[in-house]
Amino acid sequence: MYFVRLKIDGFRAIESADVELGRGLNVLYGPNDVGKSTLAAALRAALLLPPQSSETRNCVPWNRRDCAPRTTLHFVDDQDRRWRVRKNFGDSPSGELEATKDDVSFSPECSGREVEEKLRSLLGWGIPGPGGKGSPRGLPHSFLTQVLLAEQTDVRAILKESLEEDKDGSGKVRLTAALKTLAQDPLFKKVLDGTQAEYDVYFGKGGQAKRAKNSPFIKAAEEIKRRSDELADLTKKREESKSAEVRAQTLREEHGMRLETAAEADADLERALALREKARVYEALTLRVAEARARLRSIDAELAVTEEKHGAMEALRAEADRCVAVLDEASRASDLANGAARDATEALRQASSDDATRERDLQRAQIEGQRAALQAKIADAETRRTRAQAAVDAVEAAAQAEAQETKAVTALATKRRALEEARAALGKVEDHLRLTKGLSAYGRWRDGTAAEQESRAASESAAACRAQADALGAEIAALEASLKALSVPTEAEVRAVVALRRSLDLSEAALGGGLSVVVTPKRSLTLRAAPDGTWREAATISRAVEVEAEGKLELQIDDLVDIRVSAGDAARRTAAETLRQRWLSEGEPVLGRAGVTDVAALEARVKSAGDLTRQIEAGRREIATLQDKAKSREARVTELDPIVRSVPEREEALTGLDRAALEQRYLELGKHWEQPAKAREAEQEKALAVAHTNVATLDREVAGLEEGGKHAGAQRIIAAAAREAALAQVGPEPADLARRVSAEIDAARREGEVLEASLARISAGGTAEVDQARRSLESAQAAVKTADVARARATTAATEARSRVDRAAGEVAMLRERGAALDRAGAAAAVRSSEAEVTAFGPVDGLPTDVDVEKAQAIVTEQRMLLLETTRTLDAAEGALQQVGGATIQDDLEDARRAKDNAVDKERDLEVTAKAWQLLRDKLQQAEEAEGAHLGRALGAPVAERLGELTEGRYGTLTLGPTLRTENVEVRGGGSPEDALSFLSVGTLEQLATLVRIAIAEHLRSAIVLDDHLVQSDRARLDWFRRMLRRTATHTQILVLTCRPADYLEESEIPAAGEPMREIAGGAVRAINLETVIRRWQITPGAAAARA
Amino acid sequence: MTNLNLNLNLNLEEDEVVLRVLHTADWHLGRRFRAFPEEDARKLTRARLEVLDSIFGVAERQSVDAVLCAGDLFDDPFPVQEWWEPLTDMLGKLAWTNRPMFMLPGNHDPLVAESVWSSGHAFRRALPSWVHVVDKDDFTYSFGEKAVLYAVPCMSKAGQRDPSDFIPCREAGDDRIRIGMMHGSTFDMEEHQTNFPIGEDSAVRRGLDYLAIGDTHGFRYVPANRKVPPTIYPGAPEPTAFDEKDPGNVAVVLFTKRREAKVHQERVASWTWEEVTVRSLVELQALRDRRDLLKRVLQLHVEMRLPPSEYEQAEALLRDLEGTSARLGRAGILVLDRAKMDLDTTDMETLVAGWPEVLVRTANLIKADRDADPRVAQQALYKLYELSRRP
Repeated sequence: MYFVRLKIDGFRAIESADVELGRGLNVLYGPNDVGKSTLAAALRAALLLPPQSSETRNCVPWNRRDCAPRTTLHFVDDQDRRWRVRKNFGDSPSGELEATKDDVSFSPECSGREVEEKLRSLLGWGIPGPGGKGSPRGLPHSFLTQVLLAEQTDVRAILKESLEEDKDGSGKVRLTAALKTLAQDPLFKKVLDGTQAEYDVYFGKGGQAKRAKNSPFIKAAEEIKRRSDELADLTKKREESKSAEVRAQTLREEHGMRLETAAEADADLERALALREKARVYEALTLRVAEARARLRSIDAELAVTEEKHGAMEALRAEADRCVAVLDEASRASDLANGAARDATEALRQASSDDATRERDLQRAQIEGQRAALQAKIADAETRRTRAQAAVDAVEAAAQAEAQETKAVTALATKRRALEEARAALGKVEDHLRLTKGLSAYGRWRDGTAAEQESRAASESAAACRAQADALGAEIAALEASLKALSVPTEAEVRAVVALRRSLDLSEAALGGGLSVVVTPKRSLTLRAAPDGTWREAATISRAVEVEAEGKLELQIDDLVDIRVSAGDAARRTAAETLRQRWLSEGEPVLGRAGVTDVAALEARVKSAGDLTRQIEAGRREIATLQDKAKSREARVTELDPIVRSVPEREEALTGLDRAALEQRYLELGKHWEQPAKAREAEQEKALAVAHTNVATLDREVAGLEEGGKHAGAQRIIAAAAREAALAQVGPEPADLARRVSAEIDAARREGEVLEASLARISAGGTAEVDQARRSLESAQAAVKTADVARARATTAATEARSRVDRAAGEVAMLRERGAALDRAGAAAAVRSSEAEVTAFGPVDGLPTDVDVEKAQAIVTEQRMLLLETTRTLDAAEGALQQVGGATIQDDLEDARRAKDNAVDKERDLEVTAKAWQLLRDKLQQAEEAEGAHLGRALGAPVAERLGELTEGRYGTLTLGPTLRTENVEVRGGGSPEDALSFLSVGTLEQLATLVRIAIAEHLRSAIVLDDHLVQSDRARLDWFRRMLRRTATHTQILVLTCRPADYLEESEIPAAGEPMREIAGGAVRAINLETVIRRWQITPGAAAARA
Repeated sequence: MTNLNLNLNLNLEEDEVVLRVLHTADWHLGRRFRAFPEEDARKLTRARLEVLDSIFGVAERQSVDAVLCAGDLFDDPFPVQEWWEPLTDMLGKLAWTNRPMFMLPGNHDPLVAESVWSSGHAFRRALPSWVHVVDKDDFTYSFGEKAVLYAVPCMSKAGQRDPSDFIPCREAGDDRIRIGMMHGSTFDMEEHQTNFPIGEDSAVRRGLDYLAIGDTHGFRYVPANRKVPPTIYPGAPEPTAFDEKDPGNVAVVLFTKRREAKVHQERVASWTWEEVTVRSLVELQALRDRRDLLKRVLQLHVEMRLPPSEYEQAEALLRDLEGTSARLGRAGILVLDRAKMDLDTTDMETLVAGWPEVLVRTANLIKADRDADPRVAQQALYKLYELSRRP
C-alpha cells in the first residue's frame, strides 16, 4: 500500500495543505511548527478516524471552532487498486470512499460508516470494524498502526507491543503471510515456489480462479463454448435434416400409397375395361347362340313339315300299294277266270265227239227235246234271270258309275283347286323370283350408282386430300418459321436455367420466415413496396403503414431512399445473393435471348416449341397420310371405273320394275344385299322348279281326272242306259225277278237234271259231260266277265293312288331338297359351337356395366390428381432435404461431438490439475504455518542483521516473540543478559524500533511514516539510515517528517527556497518543502494572546 | 511413391488385357479433424493431399488407361483455394494427355451452384484438359470401340434416387466393356444413411462389367460374395477414423478381352490408425520402443496403478511418445487416455524419504484431507513428489 496525495482543509493549525507523494522515499521537511505532526495526524485521521467520532473535536482548529476539518487522501492498496477517501470531521461529519483508475475520475465505493469498515478491511492492520464488539471509539490502535503510523512522541513503544493486543486478527494474518517466507527450508521453498508459480497460472492473488482473457480456464471454457456452439449448430442442422428426412419419408410413404392406390385404380379400370370387353364378347356370343338356336328351330320346323309330308306320302304310297295289290288280285282273278273259260271251252269240245252221238242223239233228242224245252225254259228263265241279274247288275253298275263319277268329279274339283293353288304358288314364286332378280338388278344398279357416287366422292376426296396436304405443307412451313422465330434455347441451357432457378427459389425459400416493416411517415410521402419481388402500386401515405413479406422486401420512399430488407441468416442470404447474381449473369441472358421474363415462360416457350415441333411432325405425318389417302382414293376410282361404265346398262335392266318397292327391299337388305339376294334367288329358282313340277303334276292329274271323270260320266250314262234298258226288260224289281227266275231255273234245272240223268243214261255219258262242259264254260265266261270288271276298277284305283303318291313324293322331294339346303347339321353345329363358346367363356357373374367402367375412370382421375399433388409435395420435400440433409452432416456432428467431449475432458483435467496445485499450495502453506507460526523467528534475523550492520557488529541475534514482541537482543562481547534492551541507549532503542518497523513495513510492502524518529541518532548512524532508507524505498514507500532535511538529503538535493518539491534519484527520493505546501492559519496578535 | 509393387499381371497374358483403370474415391481434401489438437489435425488434413502422390504414382507404374475418382474428393462442396490449388498444381505436373481422369462429385462435395465443380469455378478452369468432371446424369466416355464409361454425379447432399437408374442397360450386340461410376450407399452396412441408394445388383441389371463406387472408407466388394461383375468400394486412400475397416487403398482393375474385370487392391496410405491399451510399464516401454510409430495415429489407453517412481517413469515414456514443444514425439499422433492411470500412494515412507519435516507434513495433510477429490489429491501428491525431485 502507498499514499499518493494528501489534501487537508481546516485541520488543527493547518488551514490547507496539498501534498503529492512519491512511490519511494519522501522527505517532508520544514521548520518546527510548520505542521509536520499535524500532517501526520491528518494522515492517520484520514485513514483511521471515523468522522462521527468524538475525538474529531481534536481536529478542529482551535481558532476556528466553526471550521469543519476535512481530509482527502489518495492511496493505492496491496492489490494495486486506487482509492480516494474523503472525510469531513465537522458538525456534519461524513466519509466517502471512491475508486479511481486515474485520480481524475472517481466512482463511489461506499460512504458513512461503511467507509471505515472498508478501509480497515483493505488495510488488514488488525483494527476491528466500527461499531462492533471491541471496536475503538476514537482513533483505533493496533500493532500495525503503531508500526506504520507511529506518532513522534512514542517512538520506542513498538518495542513493547505485540500482535497479542490486537482486537482483530487481520494484522497477524498479514504479518504471518508476509514473514513466513523468511523461515523456509530450501527444498520446501523450491517446492513452494514451483507450486506457487503453477498456482499463479490458474489463480489470482485472492485465490479466485483467473478469468482474464489468457486464463487457462477461460481458454478451456472458450474452447468448450466454441465446440458446444459448433455442436449446437450442427445438431440444429441435423435436426433440420432429420425433420426434413422424416417429412420426406412420410411423404414418400404417402406417395407410395398414392402410387399403389393409383395403380390399383388403374388396374381396376383396366380390369373393368377388360371385363367390359369380355362382357361385350359374352353378349355377342349369347346373341349368336340365340340366332343359331332360332335358325335351328326354323330348320327343324321346316324339316318337321317335310317329315309330316313324307308320312302322308308313305300313307298314300301304302294306299297305292294296296290298290296295286287289289289290281293284281283282280288281274289274277281275271286270268284265272279266262283260264277256266278256256278249260271249259276245251271240255265242251271234247264232250261233243261222234260215237254215241246218234243214240244219244235220239234219246238225247227226246230228252233233249225235253231238255230243250226245259232248256228253253231254263234259258228263258236264265235269260230272264240274266236279264234280271243284268238289270240288278246294271242298277248296281249304274249306282257304281254314278258314285264313281261323283268321286271323279270331286277328285277333279279337288285337284283343280290344288292345281289352281299350285299355279298361284308358281305365280308367287315367279313374282318373287322376278322381284328378287329385279332386286339384284336394282342392287347392281344401286351398286353402280353407289360406285358412281363413291368414285365421284373418291375423286373429290383425293382432290381434297391433295389440296389439304398442300395446305398443311404451307402451314408446316409457317410453323417451321414460327419455331425458328421462337429462339428456344438448347435443352441443356433450359435444364441448367431451370436447375439454377430451382436452387435460387429453394435458397430464397430458405430465407423465408416473414418480414414486417412499419413505415411511419413524418410527412405525407409516396411509398412503393415490393414484397418478395412483386412491385405494388405506389401509394401516398400520411400515417403508419405495415408492409409484410415472406423473405424479401423492397421499399421506395419518394425519391429519398430505396430500402431492401432480406430475411434469413447471413450465410443463407449470401448463398441466395450469390445465386441471384448467378441468375442475373447466367439465367437472365438465356431468358432474354428467348424473349421471356421467367422460367415458367421459358418452359412454356420450350413447351410451345415442343408443341410446334410435335405439330410439325404431326402435320408431316398428316400430309403423308393425306397423300396415301389420295392415292388410295384414286386407285379406288380406277377400280370402280368398269362398274361406273356399266351403270346405263344396269339401269336399262330395271325397265318395268317397281323401283320404289325395290328400293324398300334393297334398304331392308342393306348394303350387303347381294349375298342374301343371290341366296334368295337361288332358293326361289328352286322353289320355281318345284312349283312348275307341282303345276305340271297337277295338270297331268287334273287331265287324268278329267279323263276319268269323262269316262266315269260315260260309264254312268252307259250304266244308266243299261240299267234303264235292263229294267225295261225285267221290270223295276229285277232282284225279285232274278230270285224268282232263279227259283224257276233251279226248278227247271232240277228237271233238267232229271232229263239230264235220263239223257246221261241215254247218252252214256257224253251228253252229260258236254252239258257240264257247257255249263262250266258259261260259268267261266261269267266269271271272266266279273273279273274283268273288278280288274278295271282296281286299275282305276291304282292309277289314282299312284298319282297321289307321285304328287306327295314331288312335294316331299321339294321339301327334302329345301331341307338339305337348310344345312341343319351346320346350324346345329353352329348352336353347339356357340353354346360351347358360351360355356367355355366361363362364369359371367359380376361383369361390369358401362356405369361401372365410368365409376372406375372417375376413381382413376381422382387418384391421379391426388398422386400428382403428393408428388409435387414430395418433390418440394426432397428438394428441401437435398439442401439440408445427408450423411455428411452426421459425420460432422460426430466429429464435433468428439471435439466437444475432448474439450470437456480437457477442462476437467485442467480443473483437476488446477485443484491439485491449489491443494498442494494450500497444504504447503498449512504445513508451513504450522511449522513457522513463530513470526519472531522470521523477522528477528533480518532486523538483527541490519542492527549489527548499523552498530558495526555490536549487537547480534535479536529475539522477537511469536507475536513480534521484542524480547531481547544479543550484545556481542558483552554477554547476553536476559534484559539487554534495558541497557540500550535511547538512540539505539529508537534505531532498533525504527529497524523493526521498517522490516515489518518492508515485508508488508506497506508505506511507513517516520515522524522525526531518529532525533537521537548520530551522524554516522543517520548516514547509514539514509542509505538503508534509500535502498528500502526502492520497494517500500517511506514518509520521513523532519525539521532537519540534511539528515536524509544531500545538500544539493534540498530544494531551493521557495521550491516546493524536488525529485531525486530518478524519482526514488522526493524532497518536499512543507512550507510551500502547507498553509497555516494566519494568527492575529489578539488570537495569539487568547491562545496564550 | 511409397508403393514398390511391380507391375500387375494377375496371371494374365499381356495381350489378354485390353484396358487398365485405377479406381479411387473419398479423398476428402480439406477435411477438418475437430477432435484432434490443432497441430495433429493439420497433419491429418495434409495427409489427404500427400497421399495423392502415391495414387498418381500407382497409376503411372501400372500404366493405367484411365483414373476413376468416385466422389467425395473434397470434404465440402466449397473448399477454399488452399485445398483445390495444390491439387490443380499436382495435376498440372502430370502429362497424362492419354490417360483421362474422371472426377465425380459425391455427397460431401455435390455439384451445386457455386461449388468447386461448377463450370465458372477457378478450380474447373485450372484443370488440365484430360481431367473430366462428371457434371451431368448421362455422362458417357468412350474408350474407342472397346469400352465405355457411364458416370452419374451427386447433385445434392442427400437423395433417394438410385444413381444407377440413369445408366442404360446393355443393348443386344453391344460387346464393349461397360464401366459404371457413381457415389452412394449400398445398404449392406448397418446404421448407414440411406443416401443415394445403389442397388447391390446394379452392375448385373445394367449390364456393367465393373461398377466403381465411392462413399464408405474401407475396401470391399458389394456384395461381399460376388466377384463377377465386381462392384467395388476402394475406400479412402488415407484413413479418417479408428473404426474404419481396411482403409488406405486404391483398386487397380484389368479388363480382359472377354470383358472380365480383374481387381487388385493396392495400399497407398502413409498413415495407420491404431488403438492400443497398455497395462504395465513393460508394455508401455515396449510400445515406446516400437519403430513404426512415426506415421501412426495412436489411440493409447493406459490402465495401470503405479507407485510414484514408476509413475514418473510412465510419465517420461508418455512424454517420449507424445513429444513436447521442444521435441517430436515417437508417435506420429498420440491420443492419450489416462483415465485409468493411477498413482499408488500406499508406500508413503518411500515417497517422503529424505524430505524436510514441513514437506512430510504437507504430504500427510494432502493424504489426510478427506474432502479433497481423490484424483486431485493423487495429482497433488505426485506433483509434490515430482517437484521435490526436480534439480
